[in-house]
Formats: sequence, structure tokens, C-alpha cells
Amino acid sequence: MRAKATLIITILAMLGGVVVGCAAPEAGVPKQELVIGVARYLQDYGPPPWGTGPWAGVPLVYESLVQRTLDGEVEPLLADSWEISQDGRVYTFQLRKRISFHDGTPFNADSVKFSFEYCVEREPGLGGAEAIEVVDDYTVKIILNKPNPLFFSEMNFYILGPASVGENGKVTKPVGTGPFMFEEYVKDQYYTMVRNPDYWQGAVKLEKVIFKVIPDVHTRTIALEAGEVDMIGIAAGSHLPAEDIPRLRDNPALKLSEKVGFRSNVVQFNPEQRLFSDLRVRKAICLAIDKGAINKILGERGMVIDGPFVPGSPWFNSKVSNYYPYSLDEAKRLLATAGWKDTDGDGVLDKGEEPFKVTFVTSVVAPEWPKIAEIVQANLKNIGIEVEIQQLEKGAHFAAIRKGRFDITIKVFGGALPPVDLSPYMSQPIDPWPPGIIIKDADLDRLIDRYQTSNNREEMIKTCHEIQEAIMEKAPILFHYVDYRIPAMNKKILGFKPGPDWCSLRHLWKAHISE
Amino acid sequence: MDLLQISNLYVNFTTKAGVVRASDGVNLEIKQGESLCLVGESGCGKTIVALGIMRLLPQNAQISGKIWFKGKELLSLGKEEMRRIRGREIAMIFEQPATCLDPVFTVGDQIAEAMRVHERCSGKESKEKAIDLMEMVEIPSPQKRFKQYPHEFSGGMQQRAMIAIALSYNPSLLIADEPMTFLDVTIQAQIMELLKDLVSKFRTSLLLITHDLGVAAEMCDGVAVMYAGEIVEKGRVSEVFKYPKHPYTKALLGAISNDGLKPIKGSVPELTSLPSGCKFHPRCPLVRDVCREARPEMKNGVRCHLWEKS
Amino acid sequence: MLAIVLGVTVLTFSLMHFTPGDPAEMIAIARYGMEDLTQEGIEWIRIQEGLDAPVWVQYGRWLNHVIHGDLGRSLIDGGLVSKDIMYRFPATLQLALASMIVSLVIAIPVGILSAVKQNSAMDYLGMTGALIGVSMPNFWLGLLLVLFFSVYLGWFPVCGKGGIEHLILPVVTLGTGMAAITTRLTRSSMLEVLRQNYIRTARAKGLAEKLVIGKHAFKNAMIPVVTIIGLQFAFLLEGTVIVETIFAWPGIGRLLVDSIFARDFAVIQGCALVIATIFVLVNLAVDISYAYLDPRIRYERRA
Repeated sequence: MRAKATLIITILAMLGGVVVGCAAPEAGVPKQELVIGVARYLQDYGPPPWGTGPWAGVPLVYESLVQRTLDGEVEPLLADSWEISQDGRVYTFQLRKRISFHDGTPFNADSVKFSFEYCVEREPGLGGAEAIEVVDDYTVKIILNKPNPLFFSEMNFYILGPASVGENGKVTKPVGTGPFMFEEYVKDQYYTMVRNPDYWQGAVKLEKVIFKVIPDVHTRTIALEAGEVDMIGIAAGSHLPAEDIPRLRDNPALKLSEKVGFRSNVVQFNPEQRLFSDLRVRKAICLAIDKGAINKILGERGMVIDGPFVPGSPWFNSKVSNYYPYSLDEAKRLLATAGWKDTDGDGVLDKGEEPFKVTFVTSVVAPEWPKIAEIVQANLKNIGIEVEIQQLEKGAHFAAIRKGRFDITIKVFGGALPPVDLSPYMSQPIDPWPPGIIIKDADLDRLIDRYQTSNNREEMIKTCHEIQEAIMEKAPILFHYVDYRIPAMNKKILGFKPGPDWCSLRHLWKAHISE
Repeated sequence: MDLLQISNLYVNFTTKAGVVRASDGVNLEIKQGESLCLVGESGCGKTIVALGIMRLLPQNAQISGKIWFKGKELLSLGKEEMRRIRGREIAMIFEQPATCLDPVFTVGDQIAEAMRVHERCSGKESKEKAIDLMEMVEIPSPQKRFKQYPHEFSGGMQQRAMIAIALSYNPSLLIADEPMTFLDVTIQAQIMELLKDLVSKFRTSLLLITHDLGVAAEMCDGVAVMYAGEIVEKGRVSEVFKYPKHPYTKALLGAISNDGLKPIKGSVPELTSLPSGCKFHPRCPLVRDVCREARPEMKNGVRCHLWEKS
Repeated sequence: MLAIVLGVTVLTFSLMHFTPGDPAEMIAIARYGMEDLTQEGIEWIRIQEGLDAPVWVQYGRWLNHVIHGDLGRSLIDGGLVSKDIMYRFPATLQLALASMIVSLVIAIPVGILSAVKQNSAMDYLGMTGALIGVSMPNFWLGLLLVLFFSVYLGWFPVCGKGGIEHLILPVVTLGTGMAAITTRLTRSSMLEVLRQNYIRTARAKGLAEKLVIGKHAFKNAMIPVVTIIGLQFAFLLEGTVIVETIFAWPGIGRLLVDSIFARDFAVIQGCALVIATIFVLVNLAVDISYAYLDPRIRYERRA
């Protein structure tokens, strides 16, 4: 009896689904309406306490005190100026006046304090910030426990209107100061935003932005080609597949924006692995890596870089350029001097009965990871090292890294916008995330400590050049590579420039749709 | 006039092993009201002849010859005309009644179904008739049994139901293919009695296919003995069984007449590689040279070189 | 029946907890992205969501939710799991039922025709089609259909949920794959049945070929087909994952897979509960239709 009732209910529910489905709005597209294809649905209405999180609309609704340029420079946003104390521990922000939230609540020092506390509750160590002080209505002081030159990249918390947070302490209704106001969210299908008519920076040209959830990467590309969405490739987990980029470039109705490096990844040795304790062995492996082959896999979406800095900025030390040129002869020579020879003629090097066999642990956090592992496997076979690839699920991969159960692995290193946080290279990283240790080296620890606590830009650059050379010479890694974000869009969109990091859409309010 | 006349019926099957000559020039006649018995060891082609009459042979069968029934040549009839003859004019019952009834429909429905189709009568009418038929074939409490499924019937009851189906339209000819095989001996006797009664009551001609000569003697007027796809002897039951001419017939009778079985020497030849000359010669105790070379003709009711001269 | 469903949830729960990987970490990544994640953020989530408690305590909490009629809240977005499932489940059911219908509408006639006209051109065509259908992966077929019908012809939308036009491509993608299997089964089952003596009886009765095939052969041939249809339907509920992903269809299959990767235990459990229940119900439905189709089973039950 109960089974029958359940069956009837489900059938009714299904019919209901059809009816609701039919009643969905017709797509009569008014002129200034933009549809963006994204992979993920909204996970949390709130601004994330760190980063900008997975929902691409965050920088449309919320704004932070400062913003950054594509070069990593800091520009005013909700704060129009700031001062840093001599000891580098106190940041005093002067806030802009006459700005209000979407619901009309004025923006002031209290709203900064409220937002700061919302974030600090979730991440107590945020950029080393200890306390916030309201000096007057439009002045706030943030006090750090120690100087942190990376403060602006780590402390980019969003300012949320007090009305955002519901009784349970979670954001239930996104209210910010940004150019667009949150309108509607249909779970797993789309969410929409409408123009903020009183935006403080000027008139917003687009009337409406619709984020359409399309989880499959190829379907997103096809949807752009079919004209069902106007823009793709702008948010975390929504990147263009490398293989689709040439096709999109050839499509006369579409254009690709300039590429923005947003994340760097590292392929590293296990510092505890005895086989790798000999520097000559590590160097030999670095020399045996065919960077060209890896660049081919990455396509336009990424590039192998020498160390954690992307070439082209003053932060990059040009001396490390091509530090390990592809050279099998040199690699073999180094291995031979380290005592590795193929005595039994099976193509695998050995030393005192022990063959040179290692594992490469990977997962599909990014689709190219397993392919990179295969290239490394092929490259090392050339010099007589046998690599076994272990492909794990994401969580298991992170667990393996944390427990040191790998010989070679690939992982996310962090952001690519300078100044880059180099603490993952420390013997005891300040933050145990990303998981695992890359190298244990006291000299490097001292250098990184100097870099991460300096309050002098020149000194920082000089130190980071030294660090890059040290990393290259000590060879704890096989290589770094940077991921580029390349938004693709319909040619009718004019005036759009992507923002750095997670704020791709920071400047969307300046864009408009032409005939 | 003959009700059914089969002349030169050839049925071949092309298989991977070669051409199977299942019926190799069969000639048979059945008169109105007569009952004929077709006997022979299993695998000699008796069932093929029966299915040939019904035109129910598998699609890969190659058939030639003529089958005259009430002035119509069955092999040249259209599918639809033939369908009207099946069940209506010629009905058939089979061995293993358990597999011949559709397991997922009630027995009553299967009896009534034929009537619904042929007579276009209503469901209620056909049900009443079906119950009458069930009563006629002595199925107890037919009202209740009508709603039961074949698996709820015993073997004997299933065969009674099959007989009811076959007689539902009072056909001129009933073909019964080993109707008693696989049934208990007592049940066999009952079914035989029933068939005999009904055939005489409705004055239906009967073509009984059996390997049981006792049954044949009991039930039929005429007999035709079949061996390896051809008729080797035919005549009145009383004569053939008393004075068998063909060595095969003699052997068949010998196999049952003495107490205990006396199997015939050798075995039925493969239908794909039939012996030359007389097909029985490899097993024949009286074999002569001519038997190995020339195929004997049917003369005076027997197909045997020994009898050709007389 | 309740025991089966409960057993499934216990199994899922323990399996998920024995899976390597730190759930708090996975949840943090799902919520806030990976690049700027910090360990402190992960620890905060661990405490907030009670992931520091022993597994059995966590299961007890979940069971408590079930007893109180809701399924708890998602660890990722904080939404009610029951609401999530009630929203997604009809979408999947709609997709699954429609695909089922499409596959049966194709498979049964083609299967029967192929069997009746065995070795004819029709049979070869049907079986070649079925072979292609079986061997073509769903994601490939789906993308091809989208490229042709949405991009080239512009007849149907590329993806998303909406009116009937949104349903067509995903349903065709799912339906044809399934139809291929059902066609082959229908054909072989039909061929088997056509060899049976009762079919000969039906013909000997003088029944029209239509009635022989359509009534006697059909009902018998459907007995094994119904089992497969039942199994297929149950698998469809999760098997829709790929199609749901390609066509951006907000269904339960995708929800489950997303939740597994994100270690959203509350949602995983909810899905497991629903899917287990559906499995049990579908099995029941198959048993019932069996009894309807095959009186022998009815008889055994009674006896």
C-alpha cells in the first residue's frame, strides 16, 4: 500500500516537473543581457572567506577594499587610500564615502568590521590579521601579528551587507556594493543578476547577467558555438579545454580574450625518498624532462615555467631561464657519476641489485595531470628510470601526498600573480595547505622568511631572485607550470577585460553588447 | 472419393550436414470417415508428413508434390486460405501436450480462442461453447477448469484440452501425432477411448501417427508403414498386421509380438546419407543384390523387390 | 524491505568514511575552491560540520534526521537534502521514464520484427543498428547529437532543462543505448518462443499470424524482457550521470557523483536512501509484472 502511494507521488512529481518545465521563461533575449556558461552551481551565497570561491558571480555582487591589476599591483576599490605602518603591522584604510549596499544600507567602517569578522571566524589566521579597529566612520585599522607583504593577496576579503547574513550565521541573501544585484537562483540550472542602478563607479551597461550551469566542458564550448551562451572559460573549474581553443579561435563569430595566469602547479620529488637524496640524480631527471612535449599537452592553456614566477614581471629572475635544458646525454652522464648503471641490460638502471623504479602519483584534479604523468614516465624511461603511474581519486591523492606515499607527484602550488606566496617551499610550511612538503632546507627557509616578512619591495624582489636560483640549484622539483585562463566570448561583447586571480569578471560592468 | 490425397510429397531440409530428405515421395490417401494409421520408428518422417499437410513446416523446408484435400490443392493455397482450413477443416493434436499449450493463457481461453477466430462469436458465446467442449472431452468441473492455466492440469487433462481445441470446429480430418506418448498407460487407454468415441461420433477422418502398433490396430482401419521418408507398405490394418509383406513391417511386428522387446537389427539411417537401392537393405535379413542397387517400386501395397514378381 | 534500505545506507556510510581522503578538505574545496585554501579553513569546517566525531556518532546523527523526517543539510551549501532530492529526483525520473518509453517504442517492434523475419534485410538492419547502439558510448552519441541537431540544424537547445525540446536530445541519447540492449533481448527471446510447441498449436488452430505473434509469442517473450527493463530502469537512475552532465540536466545521478567527490555525506546518504528505495520498488514492480505475465509464478507463490 505504501509502495503504491510512493509510486503515485513520484509519478505526480514527475508530471509536475514537466508542467514546471514547460512554464520556464522563453528566451526572448533583450539587448543588454549576457549569458555566461559555468561549470558549477552556487555552493554558498556568501563571499568565500578566502579566495573568491567557485561561484563566478562573486566579484559582481561583492567588492573588496582594494583590487589588483593583472601585474599584481594594488589599486583602490572600496578603500580610496591606505597607509602601512613603519613596522609593517598596521594597515589603515580610508574608505570611500557615499557608497551604499544594494538594499540601501550605507557602506562604512562598521560594515568592514562586520565582514572582517565573518571571514576571520571561518579562517582565523587570515593573512596574519589579528584585530580590526574602527577609527571613525570611514577609517579602519587592521593589525597583523607580523609583517606580511603578501597581505593584499591573502586578505582580499569581501565586504558584505549586514542584511546578507541570516539567523544561522550563514549568508542567505547576497547583498554587496557591486555593480550587479543578485536576482534569482534556480538550483543547478542558472542564477541571474541584474544591474545595480546606483553603482558608485558609474553606469553599468549590461542589464542582466545569467550564469547558466553546464557541467560538461565540451557542452559548454558547443553552447558558445551554438550561441546559447555568450561567454565561457571565466571561472574556477570552467576553463576551456586546450583542444577546443584552436577551433574557437578560428570561429569568426567568437573571440578569445588575453590569457591570464591564475594558478601554478608543481611536479615534485618526495623529499624523503632515498633514491632522490643525491642532487645529481634530481638534476639528471630535470634535464631529462622534455618541456616542449609538456607544453604541447598544455596547449594555449598553460606553460612550463622555471620556478614559481611567470616570466615577464620584475619578480622573475631571468638567470633561471632554461636552467635545465633538455639534454639526455648530460642526464645520463650525471646518473652514471651517481653510480647508476644498467648492469643487467633490462633497460632499467640499477645500483647494487636495486633497480631504479619509482611511482608517480596523480589524480584528475585537472584533466592534463595524468597526461603529464605519462610524459614524465616516457621521458624518464629514456634515461633508464622506470616510472609507475598511480592515478587516484582527488581526496586519496591529497592523502597520499600528506602521508608522503609517493616518489613523484603533481599538485597545485598556489596563485600565479606576484608576489607569490613561497611558503610551500619551507621545511615547515606556515599553512599545511597545499598538502605536503617540497623540500627541507634551512638556507631556503631563511630566504623565504626574509621574503615573506619584508616590507620593502626592492628587498623582496632581490630576495625572491635569490630564492629562485636556490630552488633551481637544489632541484626539489621537476618543473613548475602555470595555468592560463582564456575567456572565450561572442564578438558582440565589447569593452571586457578580464581581471586577475579569481576576479575575472571584476570589470564586467564596463562591458556592453553591440549590434 | 478420397478426402485427402497426397501424391509424391518430397520434403527436403538444407542443413550444414547436407540435404535431409525427410519425405521422399510419399503417397497416401484417406477416405471420408476412414482412419489411417501412419507407423514407423521415430525419425522416419511421419511428423513431417503431418506438418506438411498442415503447412506448418519450418521456413527452411523445401516442399514439392501435391496434397489434395476436398478438391483443393493445399500446397498452392494462399496463406489466408490455408489458415481458414487449419483448425476448421483439418485439426491437429500433438505429443507432449504440456508444451503445446501456451503457459501464460488459461486453458479455457485457448479453447475458446479458435472459435472466436473462426466463427466470430462473442466472448460469452465462445466461453459457453468451450465449456461444452470441455465437458465433451470429459474434463471434470469445466467451469472451474476453464479459468485454470495449463500447468494446473495433469498430462491427461492437457491432452483432453488439446482434443477439445482440435474438435472445436468439427473438422473433417483430425491429425493426431503420437497423442499418447509420454502419458501413463492408464491415461493412454482413456485418451484412446475418448479419441475413438469422438471420431466415430463426429464421423471425422483420422490420421493417427504412432510408433505403437497396438494403438494402431485398436483404432484404425488402414495402415501405412513408413521407413526413412517413404511408405514401404500400406493396406487394411487387419491384413497388414496379420500378413505383413515387407521385411520391415515384419520386424516391427516382431518387435512387439513376442513377449519382451526384440529390437530391429541396426538403426534408422541418417536422412542426410540414405543408402542406395532399397533403403532398408542394410538392416534387412533377406537382402539380395538387387536390393542394394535398385529402388523398389510400390506395387500391391508393398515396396520390396521380394514381392515385385508375384 | 526496510532492512535492505537501511543496510544500504549503513554500507554507503561506512564505505564513504573508509575512502581515502580528508572529508573536511574535500568539502572545503567544493565550497570555496582549491587555490587559496588554508588548513585553518579546513579545520573550521571539520568542527562546524561535526566531522571530528566518530563515524558511528555521525551515522546516528544522520539516522536521527531521517527519523525526524528530513535528511539533514548538505555539507556544501547548507541546503536541506530532502529539498535537493525532491528537486532533482523528478528531473531524473522524467528523463529515465521518457528514455525508457523511447527505448521500448524502438526496441520491442524492432526486436519482434527481426525475430519474425529472421535473417531478412530487416533483421540485419535492426541488428546492425543495435550493435552500433550498444557499442556507442553515451557521451559520444550525446555530443554528436548536439553538434548535429543543435549547432548545425539549430532545432534543439544544446543543454539545460526546460520544455519538451530540452528533453528530446538527452532522451534520445539514453533511449537508443538502452533500446539496443532491449532489441537484442527481445529478438532472442522471441526467436526462442517462436520455436515452442504452443506456437505451432496456435498456428494449427488457424489463428492469424498477427494473433500468434502479437498474443501468444509476445506475452511469453516479454517475460525475460521485463526483467531486463526493470534492471535497466534501476540502473538508469544513476546511469543518467553522463547524460545529465553533458546536457546540464539537474538530476540525481549528477548530484550523487558530485557529492561523492565532494564528500558531502548528507547528500550521499540521502541519494543512497532514495536509490535503494527505488531499487527495492522496481524489483517489486518486476516481480508483480512477472506474476501477471507468468501464471506459473503466481501458482508457486500461492502454494
